[in-house]
Amino acid sequence: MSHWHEWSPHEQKLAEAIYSALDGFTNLGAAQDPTQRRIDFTTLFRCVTHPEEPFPAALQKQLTQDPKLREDFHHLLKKCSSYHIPRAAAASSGDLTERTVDQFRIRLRPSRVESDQLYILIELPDETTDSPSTLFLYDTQGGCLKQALPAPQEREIQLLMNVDNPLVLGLKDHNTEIFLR
Amino acid sequence: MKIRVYIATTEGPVKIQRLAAEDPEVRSVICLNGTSEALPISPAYDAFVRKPTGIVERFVGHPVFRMDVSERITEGQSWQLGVLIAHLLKFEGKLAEKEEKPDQVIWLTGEVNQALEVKPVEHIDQKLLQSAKLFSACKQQNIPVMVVMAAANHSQLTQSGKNSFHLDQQIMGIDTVTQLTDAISLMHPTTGKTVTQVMATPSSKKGTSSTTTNPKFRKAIFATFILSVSILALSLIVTPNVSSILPHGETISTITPFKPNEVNVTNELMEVRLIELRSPAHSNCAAVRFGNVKPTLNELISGPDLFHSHEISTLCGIRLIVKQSKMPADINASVEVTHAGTNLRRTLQTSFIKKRRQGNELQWQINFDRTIRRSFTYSWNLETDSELTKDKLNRRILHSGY
Repeated sequence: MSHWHEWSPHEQKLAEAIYSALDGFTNLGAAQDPTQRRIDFTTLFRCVTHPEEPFPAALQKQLTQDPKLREDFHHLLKKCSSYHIPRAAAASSGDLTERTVDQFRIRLRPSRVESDQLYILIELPDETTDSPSTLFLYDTQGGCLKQALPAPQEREIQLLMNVDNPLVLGLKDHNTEIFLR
Repeated sequence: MKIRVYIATTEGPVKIQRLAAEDPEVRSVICLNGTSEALPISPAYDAFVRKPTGIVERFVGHPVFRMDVSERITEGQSWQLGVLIAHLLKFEGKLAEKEEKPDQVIWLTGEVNQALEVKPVEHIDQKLLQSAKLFSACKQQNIPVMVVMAAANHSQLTQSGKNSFHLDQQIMGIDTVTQLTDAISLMHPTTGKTVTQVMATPSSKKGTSSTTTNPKFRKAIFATFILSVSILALSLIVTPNVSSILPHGETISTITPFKPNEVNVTNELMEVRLIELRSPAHSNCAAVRFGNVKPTLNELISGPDLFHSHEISTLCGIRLIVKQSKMPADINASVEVTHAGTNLRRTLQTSFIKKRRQGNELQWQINFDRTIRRSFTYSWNLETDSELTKDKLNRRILHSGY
């Protein structure tokens, strides 16, 4: 199955139009209460493809409540992402300090200067040509975190965060999947 | 002595709060106020630190640092001079960090290339204007300030411009980083040597200096004046340029009295004088170095038994003056340092010796502002290719210890 980034811009636009039409059809029968209205595809799509836009709180809430939405969003993440690290093996124990898949590696290195901060290092594959701009952290309950990424230096992206940052806690969690786009 | 470094920006001076070595596995980063917010210039900072593109690692021997600053530095390269000097000060334990009260303040702006040339930058007037409050506050607290910029920027400053910024501090325009490191006696950056490396360097040949390789100067030496200055440790003693070659953890040596020697420093051809530069009362050598106070000049009287013992702590430098009735082509001085009780000997780089000519008088000066814990001897060697080589002048001047 091909990935989003392998499609041409025309194909991507076409897919967006089709999904938007199907999504609008689905919402025709939805409840009139705006808070109950299902997040539309356009919002989902923008959330995934625009790194500068924050993760909508409404989407965060509905993902934890709507299994169908979770399934759609997960599917969209897989389609639109360049790299994917699945949940860690069940045999792993304790917090993870490194997540690796064939193509790349994410490491957590404590700061020697500030004990409550650490560095997230994302090493890209040698053959990569596209530098990811966004990291998504997704758990089995529909919880999702979105983090914009800086430009890489020599195929490595570095973030500095507090050790109690939800992104850091999520990276250490075996039950999270990582998507890079 | 602790020196606070400020990086000049158009939004105001940015204080360097902390500088610390980080894990070599990560990349250097500049953070805001101790938080996890890494500034956008962090990649540029990493490139400035790490070899081969970077400069800092060449001198301090470590590839990754974390620097915390008080305000954002958003763009440009003018932070480079301040950052480099901060690293050198940190390496020598002189950087004022966090809430430490500084003895001096240095305000810097300039871009630095691989050859350590300092390039001019823009918006100097605006940077100075935005720092007026800082300069005023330092003045009120009696903290000397040195303003440093590229020589090209300095030459464009008008007197009225300086006045409008209420800038009566010392302003220094430099073409190279070494001009500044000489002025404040930091490790010479072009050696690229750490303390350990300098200590491992074998002693150099006597009289070696850059001029001996100059074909202009013949091997024949007209006259050799050896001035030995022995400084004994009573407590912490300040000297220039040599503490980096002393082993750490040395105990203070026992005071050994020297016998004063008969000297005859003048003859029909030349007169030699030795002058101490000392800090005046209620001041210190750093203030002398930064030009905020004038040193007290204490001429050592030549003749038998007339070299006095003085309080070493106020000694800021020594000036050797040679006045000649006939002027040779040129005279060059080198200084050799020998440590008491060891064979460790080192020739100071000529750039550490300030040379000046006034008419038929030549002056050389070494500035002291370093801490030393072992007695040692300075030997001055003067060389020339003058036709007066036939003269058998051969005088030795020994300066008794403190």
